[in-house]
Amino acid sequence: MNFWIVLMLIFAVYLGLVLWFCHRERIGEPRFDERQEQAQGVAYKYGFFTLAVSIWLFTQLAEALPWLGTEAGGFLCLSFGGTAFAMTAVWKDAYLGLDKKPERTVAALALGGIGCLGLSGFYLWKEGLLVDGTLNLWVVVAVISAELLLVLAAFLYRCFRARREEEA
Amino acid sequence: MKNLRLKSARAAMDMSQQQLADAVGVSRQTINAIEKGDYNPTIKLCVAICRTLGKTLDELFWE
Repeated sequence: MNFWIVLMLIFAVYLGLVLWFCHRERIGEPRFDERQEQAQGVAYKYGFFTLAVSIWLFTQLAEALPWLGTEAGGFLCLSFGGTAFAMTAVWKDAYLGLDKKPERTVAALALGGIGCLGLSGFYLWKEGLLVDGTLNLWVVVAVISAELLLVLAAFLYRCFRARREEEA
Repeated sequence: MKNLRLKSARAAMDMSQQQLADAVGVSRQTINAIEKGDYNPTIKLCVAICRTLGKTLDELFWE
């Protein structure tokens, strides 16, 4: 069987698992309080402006960095905006509804992030950073995986700090 | 500015932050943020907290 078909099957199973955890842990039925909604507004603002600045920087640097490529640059800009949103939402405790404890979803996302990081590391080692003069898309996968793990690390840190904050 | 009156009123009722949060329908982090002075609640939330703790708005939130 073709390696890519196997990889896509594994990814489909993984995605199904994450969606099932989200459904079991009722991630898709959020109930936020007023402070969380306000914090989400701040997170959307930071995410939007990070995306806008990234796109502007990309257009300014396009000539100076011809190897960057439109696809890679576009995905990287989106990922920076998304990471800024996620980090702000995590840092301000705006990320969860009032009754959510998504341990399994977080664990599944962490495993996925580590898996993608490992896979991209392998392909970058095999193919190199540049392919036909443009940035290898596995670099983008590696960056996005690292950003996901960073957000999850921030989430774990906030969980740890929340336990100490209770009666400080 | 920290809201020590809220904290002491909650302690007087022997309630944890989580218990107060559950009673008024917000997250524990929101109660924590109000007590630390990091968040100014809406009047609706202030009234809900006052009702739960049996205090007036002046007693808990007037500066």
